[in-house]
Amino acid sequence: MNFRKLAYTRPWRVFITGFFKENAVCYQVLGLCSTLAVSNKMENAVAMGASVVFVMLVSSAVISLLRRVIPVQYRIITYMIVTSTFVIIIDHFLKANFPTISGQLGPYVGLIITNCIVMGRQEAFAIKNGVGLSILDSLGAALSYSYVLVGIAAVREFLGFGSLLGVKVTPPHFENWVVISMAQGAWFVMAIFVWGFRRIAKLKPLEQE
Amino acid sequence: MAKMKLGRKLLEMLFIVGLGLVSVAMLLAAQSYAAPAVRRFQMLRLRTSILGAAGVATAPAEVNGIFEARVTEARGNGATYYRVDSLVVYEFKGRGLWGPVEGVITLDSGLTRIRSVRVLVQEETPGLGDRIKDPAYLVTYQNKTALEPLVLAMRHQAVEANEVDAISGATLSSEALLVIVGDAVAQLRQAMGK
Repeated sequence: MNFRKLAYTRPWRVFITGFFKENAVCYQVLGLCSTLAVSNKMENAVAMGASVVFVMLVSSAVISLLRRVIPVQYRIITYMIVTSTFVIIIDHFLKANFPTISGQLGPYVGLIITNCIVMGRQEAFAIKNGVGLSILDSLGAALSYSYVLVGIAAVREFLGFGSLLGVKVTPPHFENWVVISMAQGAWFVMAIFVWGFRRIAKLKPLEQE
Repeated sequence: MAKMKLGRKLLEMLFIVGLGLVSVAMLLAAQSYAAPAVRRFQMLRLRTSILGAAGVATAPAEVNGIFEARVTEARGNGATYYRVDSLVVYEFKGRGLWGPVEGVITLDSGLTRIRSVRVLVQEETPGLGDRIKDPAYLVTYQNKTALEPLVLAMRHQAVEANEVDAISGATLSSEALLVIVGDAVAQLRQAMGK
């Protein structure tokens, strides 16, 4: 298998574009509400990221499978029905099998229904492309959302709670920077994160009309 | 022509209705799969927290046995409360800032002092109001009076027997819990006829 050739194949490009260059949060500027809300602790961010990956993979696959029969006027409500079905199923699954984790996540799992990245990728990609490509596309987008979420959460948990993944890492006299763990602090950290990411990915500012 | 359009519309509506039915069926299946496990877990959690609230340490496997041996259930005025040794445990439900708050409260048998408050279910703001479930915060209710209404200590640490701490950045959630605890004590008093 020639790995250099792999970089020029369509599936790889579909995946890597969503994963890096067209990052869901930093480039498409989608899913900001949950990025602000759930990025206060890494544990929450990881669980949220994993749930979003699952929901996006399954619902994009279903939308892509049904793409020839979904009536154009009703496609948005179709996305909603499909997405919320899988979100509620994963919620039940967690409640039955991992009651403690489910208790910690609380309302977060249900919030995936309102995550615009899910619907964004369905409307932009899954409705027009085959199942395999749609899965790769949503995998890239969901993972890009997840690593931004976990990245922001790492900074916020460190500064706001003095811990990482619930483990205390700061010296005892470290004063917790409470504002960073609140929604207002999330804006600062996210803005700096987005700026840094766009620098690294060499994204240009949008042209002004 | 008009007929074809109507037929198409009907098909499209059928598609949505069909999709909805499939979705409902999947959700019902998921719920009936999860329900027994969820009920078992809730019952175990309630029993664990009643025993824990009364200061009885248990291993998860022994909870049901110890509960049946040491706890007596009593009813009064439509409410159920539990007697463990010389303590009274009551399960409370109320409205928080964003959603339901549920938990258990322990008092001495004369209903004069709160021994402990535990919050099991809450939907308060993550990272702020959700601290009402933290044992580190709930310590503030320990040994507070149950004879007069409690108040929030807003700009200082709670010291008096009728004061509890507020959570900075989540005053409304702290207030909501305060009201819920007050209601629980009143309900329990009615149930026990005191």
